Amino acid sequence: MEETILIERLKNTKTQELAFRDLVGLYKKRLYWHIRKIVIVHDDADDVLQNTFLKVFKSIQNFNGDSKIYSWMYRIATNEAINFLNQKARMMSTSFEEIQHKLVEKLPEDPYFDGDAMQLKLQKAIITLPQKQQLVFNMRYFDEVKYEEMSQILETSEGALKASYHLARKKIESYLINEK
Amino acid sequence: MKKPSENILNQLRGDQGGYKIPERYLEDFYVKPDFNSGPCA
Repeated sequence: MEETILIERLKNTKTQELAFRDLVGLYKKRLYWHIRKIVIVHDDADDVLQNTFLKVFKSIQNFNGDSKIYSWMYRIATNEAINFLNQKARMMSTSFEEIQHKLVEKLPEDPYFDGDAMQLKLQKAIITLPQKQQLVFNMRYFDEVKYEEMSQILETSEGALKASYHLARKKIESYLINEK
Repeated sequence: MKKPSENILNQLRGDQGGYKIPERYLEDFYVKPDFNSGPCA
């Protein structure tokens, strides 16, 4: 479906309900996996995905078409996920980094994680990266988001994103070799 | 020749890092109504 038609349908009160269903159907999977990598726990990812779509619905009239709608939703999802984890950290009187460490340490007990030792080590390596580098690595490595698209989402130049991904890979490779 | 760590990264690529989701979660996902605000899908 043409994106411009979908946006028109989303903004028209007569057609928006069905258009929102289409939008959710089109993007729920990609947004879920993006959110899940940030908040780590499935139930939290479900909450954040709900909040993301609700925010999209509430804000659709303000969407001005400067970027693709998917990039715009991805930005909302990223902010919602980071805010969620920051709130969780505040409630536990800890930091964003520390809560990520705690959540990853608990992964072996998580019924919705069945990674092997190397996958667990990879997750531990990822959370050693600065927040934006984590986003770049996860988007490129797991979801194969194109740099052009990532540039719109993260509002960063493609060159800087490529450099960031390269650096992230190097750090992770070093972690996988050197950490026990 | 690739370094072992690169080989590992290439092997792990494509998987969602060991994360799983409940059966039919994505198929059954819908946005729950928010009665205080606008429309929902």
